[in-house]
Order: sequence, then C-alpha cells, then structure tokens
Amino acid sequence: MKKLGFVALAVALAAPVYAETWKIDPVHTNVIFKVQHFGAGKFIGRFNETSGTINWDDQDLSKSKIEVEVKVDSVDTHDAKRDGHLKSPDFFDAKQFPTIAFTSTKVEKDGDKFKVTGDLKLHGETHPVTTGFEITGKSTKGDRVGGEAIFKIKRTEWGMKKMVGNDGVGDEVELTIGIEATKG
Amino acid sequence: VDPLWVLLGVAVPALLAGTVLLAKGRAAGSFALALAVLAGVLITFRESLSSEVAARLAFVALAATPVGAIPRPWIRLPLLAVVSALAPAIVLYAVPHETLSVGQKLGWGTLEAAIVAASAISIDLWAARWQSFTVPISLWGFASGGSAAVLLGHYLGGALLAGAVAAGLGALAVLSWWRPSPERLQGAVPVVATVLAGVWLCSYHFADLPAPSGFLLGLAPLGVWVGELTKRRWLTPIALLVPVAVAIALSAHANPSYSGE
Repeated sequence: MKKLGFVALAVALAAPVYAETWKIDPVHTNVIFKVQHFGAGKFIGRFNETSGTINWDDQDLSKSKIEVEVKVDSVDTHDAKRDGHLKSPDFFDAKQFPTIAFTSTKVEKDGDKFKVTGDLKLHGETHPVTTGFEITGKSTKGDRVGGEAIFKIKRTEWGMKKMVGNDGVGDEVELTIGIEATKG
Repeated sequence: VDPLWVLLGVAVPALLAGTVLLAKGRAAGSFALALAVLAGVLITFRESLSSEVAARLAFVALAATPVGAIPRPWIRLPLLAVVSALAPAIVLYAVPHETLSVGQKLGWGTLEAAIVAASAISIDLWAARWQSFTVPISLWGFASGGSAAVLLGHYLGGALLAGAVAAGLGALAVLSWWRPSPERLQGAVPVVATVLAGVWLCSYHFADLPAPSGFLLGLAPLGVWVGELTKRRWLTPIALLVPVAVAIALSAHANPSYSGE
C-alpha cells in the first residue's frame, strides 16, 4: 500500500503542467501605436509602463485569460511637448483616465496562432475587441515566454474624437503589443 | 484643427452675446455671457460633451446667471461666494482618487474656492465702482491672455472655451462703448469670473498649465485693489494684466511649442 502511494505521487509529479500563470515583464514588453498624421506619414509612439498577467491553459483555452494594463502617463513620442499634448484632455486625458486596460474574455485556437477577444478600456470607455495572438517563443530554461498581438481600433469609438482627420490625427490606430512574461 | 470650427467657436458666442446685449440691465449682461459660454461649450466640445470636464463648466455658467442678475450686493456677493465653489467641485470630482485623495481634494477645493470667490467678488466690486469701458476691455485682455496661457499648456479645448468667454466680453466691450449700461456690465461679471476660473483649474489639473501660471491667473483679479488702495486708478488694469502676461511667459517657458499634434 505504501509502495502504491509512492508510485501515485511520482506519477503526479511527472505529469505535465498545462495551466501556467505568467507575469508581464514591463522592461521587455512594448506597447506601440501607429497612426496617420495630417493625412501624411504613419506616426509611431509607445507606452513605457505596462503590467499584467497571463493565465494560459494549453489543454483548455477557455480557462486562459490575458490582462494587460498600460499607464497613459508613460506615453512616449520622442518629444516631451507632444507627449504633454497627448496626455491633455485634447487626446488621452491622462489625469482623468490614467490607465488603458485589456481583459480577455475568450481565447481560441486559430490555426497555429490564437484569437483573443476581450474588453479594451480606453479614455474611460470599454468596448470589445478581437485580435490575433501569436506565441513568439519560449526561453531555453522555459521560464520566459513571448507573445505578440497586432490589431486596429478606431479611437473615436472610445470617445477620442478631437482633431480627427487629415487636418489632425487619423481615426484608425494600429496597436502592437509585444509581450514578454516570466513565470509568476 | 479645422479653422472653421475655431472661427465658429469665437464668432457664434460673440454674435449671440452681442444680440442679447442690445438690451440693457443686469439680466441682459448675465444672460449674454452665459449664452456665450454655452455656445462655446457646445461648439468646442461637440464631440466630447460627456467625457470633457471643461464642458461641465456650462453648469457653472447656468448657476452664476441668476446671481449676476441680482442688484443688491449684500445678496449677490454671498451667493457669488457660494457659486465660486462649484467650479473647483466639478473639476476635483473628476480627478481620480489615485491622483488626489479625498483629504487632498478637500484641501485643494477649499483653497481654490476661496481664491475663486475672492477674485470674483473683487471683479464684481470693481465693475460696480468703475462702470466704465475700461472694465470689459481689461476683462477681455484677462480672458484672452489666459486663453493663450492655457493653449501653451497643451490644452486647445480649454483655450477655446476661454476664447468664447473673451468673445462675449469683446461684444460687451463694443456695446459698452456704443450703448453704455453699467448694470449690464456688472451683470456679466459672475459668469465671467467663475467660468474663467474653472478653465484655469481644468488646465492645471488635467493639462499642463504650470501651477505658478494657474495661481497667477487665479489671483490676477485681486490686482484691481492696487488701483483702489493707492488711489491711482490707472494702475488697476495694469495690475490685472501684468500677472496674466507673466502667466503666459511661465507657461511658454514650461511648455515650449512644437509643430502640430
């Protein structure tokens, strides 16, 4: 009986772990936005402060959940004055709406990639978005994983309706979220 | 930014206020400036009425309108002090708890309401004593200069709302010269003083108007006492407008301009 119990414990320990919790590494995670400026170039900016967790279950994706939070105050366009204007009520209104948050509601397999649906809270408004999500790799030790999501939103749908168009900044914004996460 | 909307944001308030100001009396002055503010809010924040805190300053204008119409100072001035607390309350309510705790909001709110009340009452008494064309012209300079400081603080919406108030004051100045009416001028003061103070507060709490510029704009109306106390009346507009010029310079220094959004 004692022998049987030992064998059962050994089997349990050897079994693969399917559900894992990962913590977003803010230093190696990038949130980049691309938007048309004055109807001309595609302007690129980024947010420097990101946090969040990923609960990933390979065997049952319905149990997987991705949560990402971005500090609006960390917007960085390589021009402090422009960053100030972007934080003002003319754009992000960073002091009234200090965070951008994404919480997934559904993760599905989509070929060799994934499809993630969730709620995006931006500028005080929450609307659903769906994005492709790709696991970009895993470290040799297996303690670090990478993923990337690229999707487009219309900022006016989140109430950011000022200076839209060819005399200002485009409505459609492409967001790239390049995540690196460590075992949490 | 579409220049047509900027033009409308100034022209419509001026025309509406100017039309109402053809009538004389305190109520005309008060209602005309409130109409200018409402038009400015609706045009400037037409797409962001629900989220823009500065758009809620329309309620300040509505609350200050009947106050401006009250002729008796011992009734009007205490009510003006009460209405002065409205703009800080609206602005601070929207500041998240992560930024300012309830205690900090109470502290800021008390200080800001006291400054707004002192400034509004000072302008009110000044307008009642002077009853001249100099008052609306000086207030126009105050509103326009403050609008420039706000614009330099990266807040176009706030600058345009102050611009709408300036447009209403411009109409008031023209009408004060053409068809003088001291009561009409005095009636406009409560709306002007409380709404402009609200714009400065929004620009400090939500945009990049530097604190010294905000304090200078908030305290500038107290400068009207310089002329009264020194018996040199010519000093009064200077004492009102010099702090505004300094506020613009400080805002420009803190936020050098850049091209485009």
